[in-house]
Amino acid sequence: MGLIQKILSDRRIIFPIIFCLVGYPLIYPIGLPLDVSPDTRAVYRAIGSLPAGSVIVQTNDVIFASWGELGDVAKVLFRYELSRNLKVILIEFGQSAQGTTLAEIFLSQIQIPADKKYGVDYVNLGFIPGEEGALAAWAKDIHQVSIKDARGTPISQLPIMQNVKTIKDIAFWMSVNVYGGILPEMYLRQIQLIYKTPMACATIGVMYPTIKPFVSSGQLIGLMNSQRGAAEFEFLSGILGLAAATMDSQSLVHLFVIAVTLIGNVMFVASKYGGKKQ
Amino acid sequence: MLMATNLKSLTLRIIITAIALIFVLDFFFKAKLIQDTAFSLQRFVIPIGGFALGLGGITMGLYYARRIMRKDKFWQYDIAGVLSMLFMGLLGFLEASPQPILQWYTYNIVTPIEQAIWSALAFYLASASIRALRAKSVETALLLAGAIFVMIGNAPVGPALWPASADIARWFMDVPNMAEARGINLIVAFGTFLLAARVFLGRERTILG
Repeated sequence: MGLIQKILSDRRIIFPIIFCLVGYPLIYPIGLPLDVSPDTRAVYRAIGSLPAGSVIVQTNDVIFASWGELGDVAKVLFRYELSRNLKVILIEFGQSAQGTTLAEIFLSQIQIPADKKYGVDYVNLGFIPGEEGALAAWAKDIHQVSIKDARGTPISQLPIMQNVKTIKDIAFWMSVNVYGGILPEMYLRQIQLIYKTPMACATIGVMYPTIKPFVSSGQLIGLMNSQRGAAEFEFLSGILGLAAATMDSQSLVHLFVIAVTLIGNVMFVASKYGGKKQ
Repeated sequence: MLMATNLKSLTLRIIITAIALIFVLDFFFKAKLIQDTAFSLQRFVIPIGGFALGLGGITMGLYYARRIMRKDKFWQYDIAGVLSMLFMGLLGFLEASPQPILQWYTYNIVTPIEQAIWSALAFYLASASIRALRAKSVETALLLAGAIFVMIGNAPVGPALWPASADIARWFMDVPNMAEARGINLIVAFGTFLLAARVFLGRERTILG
């Protein structure tokens, strides 16, 4: 029993197993079922119920390291918003300015319908430093704070921005962020609390529990949980992406960790009581 | 000398308190003068934030330059770091939109490196949870049970294998997690409020340097 316990807790054995469990389904998909969470469904419904032509802000508060988790989220949301004929403003209020570059990259990678034009149907306003103070100023007067977009065009020349002057002209705020509770709290304080703008969020797995209470309290309409959230959204919207393909790996690794933890504990308890009897 | 220092400290405290009061009044009252003043101050934060990023870059450059000059351990890597930073900085300044070289470098070199390090966490987290989650006492048994339920509920396939797992995981998130988060948030909010009050009353002077 001791030997099996040692094997189960040896990294030299666990790491290769996890590597295989992650890698195999990516090459040979299994097609395990995917449960769609109510929080992702709420985001899907909220965006889907916006009237055509409404303006939606999608923040890209991410860092390069988190792009594996949030890249597909940003892409599927953006594509869905365009498919609903919404006007999309991409912007970053985070702490790194990395999201702006990644937004430009994903705009060049995804298939954007031919009838959707930059500056008319969507725009990347880039990085706004200054966090909470800058956000408060941006909400009051967008044109005074975002003078140019990420490509250097004055926003006064962009058709999409002609009727967007303050936060009151924005129908929905979708925060894609890696910063856990920090940025959603900032958005809730400066946007949702003051202007009552409907708001939802997408974040990385480890930050999910820090934001979830704001969904339970009703301040956030919904919450997407990293790559899984993207896969759920791809499933709901019918927009094909890479996130769904990674769910088999996630499921297998989760099940492996649960199984090994349970086996380890059964053996631990057995050895404890077995030892007492002797 | 002491009097001059006290005067400087008092002036700074008055300025900080006055600025903070403008934002408090801006939140509660809709007077145009206050709103305009608050807006100007908020816009002032943006260049400060931009300069802070630049300052971070300079500080980092100086730190690594010192390490390289002293030939500290692994100083060769620092050269690569400084050169990469300068390269990215120059590209940002010189390359015209849509910055194809910067984007290529970002997407094909920087992002995969950072993602690889980030992904390695999955191995360590899995290994750590297997080794650390042991029912050695009542408390750890409860923790283990909670962790198992949340893990099954959060596994994409979990609710398909055991339909109740999603509801149980959701209960853990909505009730114990919510209660803990509310408690922490309230404490942080009260703490922030009290810290602000201490600054206004001149009891807290550490922010003055």
